[in-house]
Amino acid sequence: MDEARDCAYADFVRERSHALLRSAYLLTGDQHLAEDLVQEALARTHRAWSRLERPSNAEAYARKVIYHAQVSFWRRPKVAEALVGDGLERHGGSTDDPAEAAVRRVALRRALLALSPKQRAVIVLRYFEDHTEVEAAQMLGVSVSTVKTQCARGLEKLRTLVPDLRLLADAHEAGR
Amino acid sequence: MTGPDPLRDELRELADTVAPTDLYERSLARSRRIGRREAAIGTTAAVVALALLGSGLWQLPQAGPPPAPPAAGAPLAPSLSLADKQAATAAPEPSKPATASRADRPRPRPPRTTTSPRSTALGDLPGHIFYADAADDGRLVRLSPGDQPETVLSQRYATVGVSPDGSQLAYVADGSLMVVDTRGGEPRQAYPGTASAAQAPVWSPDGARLLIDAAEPGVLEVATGALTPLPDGLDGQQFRWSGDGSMLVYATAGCGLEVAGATAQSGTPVPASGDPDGRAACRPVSVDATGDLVTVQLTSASSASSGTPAATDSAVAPADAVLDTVTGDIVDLPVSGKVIGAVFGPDGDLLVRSVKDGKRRLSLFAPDFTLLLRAREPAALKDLGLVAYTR
Repeated sequence: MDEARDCAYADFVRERSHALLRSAYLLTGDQHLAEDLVQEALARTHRAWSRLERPSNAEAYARKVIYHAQVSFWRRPKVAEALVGDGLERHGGSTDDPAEAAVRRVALRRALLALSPKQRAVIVLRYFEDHTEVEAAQMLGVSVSTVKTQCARGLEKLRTLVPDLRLLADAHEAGR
Repeated sequence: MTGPDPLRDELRELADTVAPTDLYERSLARSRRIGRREAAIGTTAAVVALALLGSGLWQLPQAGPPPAPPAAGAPLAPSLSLADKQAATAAPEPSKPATASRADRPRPRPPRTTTSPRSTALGDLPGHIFYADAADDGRLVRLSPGDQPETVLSQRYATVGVSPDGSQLAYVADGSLMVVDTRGGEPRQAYPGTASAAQAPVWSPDGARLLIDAAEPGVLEVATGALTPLPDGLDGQQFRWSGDGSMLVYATAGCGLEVAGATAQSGTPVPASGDPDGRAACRPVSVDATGDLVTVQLTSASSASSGTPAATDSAVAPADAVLDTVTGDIVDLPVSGKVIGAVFGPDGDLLVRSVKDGKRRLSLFAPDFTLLLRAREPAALKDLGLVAYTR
């Protein structure tokens, strides 16, 4: 890779790695695992850099690596299910009542990690990254009907595990 | 697209909690590693292809009419026996651990109930036990049979490894690998520049080499200082040697374990642990003589929360379970109380530290799980962590 492309890659990492890290954190529920996932995605992106032409392509490529790696290789959802009471010390989030917000975050994190990797990936793609069902299907390399099914199951489980989010039933707008 | 809703808001708020991290250098290092691995695989594939061409095997699967009989005279390619051909094609492939043979090999299992030990006297302990005092910069303490615990390393260090015969310590301090004799003497620098968090120095069974992380995991010849990187296909950290030196067990990204032959180019994943509480084996601590069993620290929910001091501490925490590397099963140890430490000795003996009703016991099992010794642990070691068991 020549100097210009080195700089472009460095710019890409500097500007977009935190956005990737945010998605990876929702997928893994763990800072270190999220870093591992993004590191792998960035490395693969670096290797493919000469074929990627534009930074937007690079981000799409990196995200695809993240989601595929997450769905394909995540082997221990049970660990996450056992999460209790952690994460309260983490920073960030805005609310009038920080304690209440922290509890909500913990509950959502636990609930997300209780989903199957594919359900979690679909939920994050649809409700965090705001992708359509078609886009989510393309990203994961599955059919739209699979996305719909996984999304419905994921939402159903989230409703059960996080009663405060029961309003999200309304968020499951059909046919988007 | 839709407007804000509770789930979207909560997801964004949760994502906000991830700490920013500079991944530039890490991603470049990983990219280089992938590149080298791809190059190695490409080279291997080329060698395989050449071997196939040379052996004439490439002609065997051909469909269609049989080839015309060769003209009288020497064959086009050198003639090889079937065994030779198999050897020719198999040799260049990444040597994988003999999973099938390991799986088929009968492995001893501990009895379901506790048994009577052959001895209850700590003085009968055949080896030495090493503990770390986390409250005192990791001060390393040795418990020898018949002796009081004695401090063998009081200098501050990041990670430490004890040689199989218990005579030498390798530790990382200020980014350098140091080696010191447990009987005393000045520490000497064995290698400058090591990454300590991902790899504690691990002694080879013969005590002549050290597995270290010097930018990348590698094997250091202690006498010469020559460092040989591990094959790129062994993509992990926290490498551990089996007692006979034939196998490596190591942690992979995403909290898994792999097993590889000591000279292999790639590893085989250990099935996910069947821990009923959903804990995962993220880090090998010690390996038995053959690589079939490994002591692990099962990562619980609280310590799985990364980015916290607890996660950092977990990198040096004692093992609390024994895992079968073929099946991924947790071995049910015949000890009463809670296991607070477990290490294999260099000859495959398993030392288990347990606590029940506030009393700490040491149990030493032979490789066939015969209970050799069970004894109360000296009270002075109460707050220390089990590090190693040596000859």
